[in-house]
Amino acid sequence: MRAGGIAYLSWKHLSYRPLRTLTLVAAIALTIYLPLALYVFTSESTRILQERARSTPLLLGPKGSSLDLTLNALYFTSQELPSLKHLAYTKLAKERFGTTIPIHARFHAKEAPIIGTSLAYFDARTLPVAEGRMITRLGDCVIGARLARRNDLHPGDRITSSPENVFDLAGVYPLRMRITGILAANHTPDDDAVFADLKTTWVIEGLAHGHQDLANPTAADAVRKREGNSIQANASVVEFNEVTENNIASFHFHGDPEHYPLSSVILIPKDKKSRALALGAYQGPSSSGQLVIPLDAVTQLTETLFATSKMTFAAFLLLGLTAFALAALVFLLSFRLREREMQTYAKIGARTASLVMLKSTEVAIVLISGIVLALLSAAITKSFSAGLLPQLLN
Amino acid sequence: MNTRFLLATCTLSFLFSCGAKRKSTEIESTHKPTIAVVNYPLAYFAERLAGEFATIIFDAPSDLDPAFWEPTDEQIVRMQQADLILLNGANYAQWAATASLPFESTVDTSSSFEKSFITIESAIKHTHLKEGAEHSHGGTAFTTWMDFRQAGMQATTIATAIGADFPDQKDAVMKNLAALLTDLKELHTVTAKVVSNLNHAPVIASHPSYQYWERAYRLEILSLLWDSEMELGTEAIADLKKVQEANPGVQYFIWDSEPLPAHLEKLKTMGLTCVVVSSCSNRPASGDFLSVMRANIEALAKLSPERS
Repeated sequence: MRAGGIAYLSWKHLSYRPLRTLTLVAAIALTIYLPLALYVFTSESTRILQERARSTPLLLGPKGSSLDLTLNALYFTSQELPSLKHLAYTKLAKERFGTTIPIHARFHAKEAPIIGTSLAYFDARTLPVAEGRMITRLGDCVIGARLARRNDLHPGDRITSSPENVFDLAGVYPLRMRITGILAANHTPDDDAVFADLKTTWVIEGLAHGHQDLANPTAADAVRKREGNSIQANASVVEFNEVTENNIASFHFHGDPEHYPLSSVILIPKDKKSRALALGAYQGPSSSGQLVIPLDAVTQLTETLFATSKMTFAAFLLLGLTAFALAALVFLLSFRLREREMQTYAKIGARTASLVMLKSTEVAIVLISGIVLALLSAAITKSFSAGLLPQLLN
Repeated sequence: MNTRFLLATCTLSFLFSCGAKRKSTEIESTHKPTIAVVNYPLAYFAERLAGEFATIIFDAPSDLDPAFWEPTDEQIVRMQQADLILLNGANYAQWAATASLPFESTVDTSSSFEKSFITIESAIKHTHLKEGAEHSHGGTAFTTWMDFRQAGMQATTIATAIGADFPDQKDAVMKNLAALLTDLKELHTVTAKVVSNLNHAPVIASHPSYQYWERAYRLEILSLLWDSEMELGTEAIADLKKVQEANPGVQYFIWDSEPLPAHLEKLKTMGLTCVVVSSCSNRPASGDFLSVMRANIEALAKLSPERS
């Protein structure tokens, strides 16, 4: 029997029972894919997590879990720790250890996180504006490339902040922000975020607002009490939910700006000495915040991830062995059922070696198909893991 | 033939790459630092301190008071790209409070004397039911440079910031600062002397922009809300008469810019001698900050009883 004939007969038999063949291929593919995907995902996640952590040398935040702080600043996960005071940022900036970048990652526009920061963030993350221009004033924002593509947003469009609590009827008005630019893609969570000036996030928080001029006679209905130069407004005062050229002058801040909230501050020290000095300055128990090394926090997380994945890997290995044993059983039973068919081949002149070859080819086709399918799926998983990681973290 | 061609190509590529490298180095070395400012006094200080190696960006239109100028988005983007942004502080250029400016390169030039800012009492205050606390939307006098000692402090802050940003120019900047401080000190001494010759008698000013000048040189200034080109209607004259009645013997009227000749005549009939004391907040048509301030002093000297 020639090789072509063996292949033809094997293929005919496999395609005669497509359901059985596909089930076998899928079982083998899944058995190989699951541990492989786990490995690919954990190693890719580790690479991505460490890469972003490396570009964030130090992070100042409130005392608490350094991992929560790091994930909030790097992956814009929900803010679990209490806020840091703006005073902490100005104090750190005055020390001149290096570039200080404030991060206020508390609010959202639908699912997209709104990040209040300074212009230095875009330089630090190498995030140029690909379309439109940079933010220039209160109420402006630039958005990530993926967010823009997903929602078909362009410079000049508006995006509205979501209320933190839908049941808080007396809460802060949502702010309609002007999109001034779309950032270039950098394949990180930045691609899915909305970036605004820190002051804009304070407007969302209700610490700053703009309203009709109470001294103007047209706003008489909104005046509750007037005493000399002092005017007290009632609840009907019209507050602006969008910053425009006409009303920007009316926006003002209430309270002490030093007490305004922040999530964290990224510190990029200018040299090793500044880094050591900065770390030393926040080590004492009397310091108001903590200065963490994001790479350390992320390494801890990846170590935990690896320990968990090792256990899962062992479980998958056992499952895989069982699956292979079952597949072998299916093949053996199938060959037993085809005993008469094999005898017929022998009677018409097929040698024993050819019959072994015929059976082996069938097994090989199924095995190779399963392996190819598993490898293809693993490659797809790798390409998706960069985008999947922030979603899983959130 | 092929070898020759290859050799020629390699030589040309090498020469081209050398040329390109030189060109990029030239571009790098010819990159002139930029310093953005919000008013003319700061532009003048920056020009005196760093004009030799930096370009000063001052985009306010010449016919507008820079304090109330609102830069366009494009102008703000230009400022964002500057190596240094100099703000006056004291609530000057309120657009800066709502603009997105890079924190690292923005310098508040009056922060060293912010505790001595003058608050304008007449600013309207109001409260909101939610917060309860009373607040005002303005109310800080901002012509800080009219007290030449404060101007010196602003110039020193600017020089320190420029020195920190461009360490290789620090010595030259500090040398320029010493010369500028000498000029400002001279302005201060002469102004104090000239003003003291007026015997600290009250004067009327067309506009409330002399608070620091008033405090520094111990004057009593009664401010109106006049513009040098406005029509002096009955209401404006009534306001002036009210001031004159409350302050009998007041002789001098200060304008921020040259008034219309008719105004001079009108005020003369009311017993007032006019003098121009420019705060020079915008770039003058001729001369510079120093020459304008010297012209102010000269005009004031002519008023002094000793001279007359």
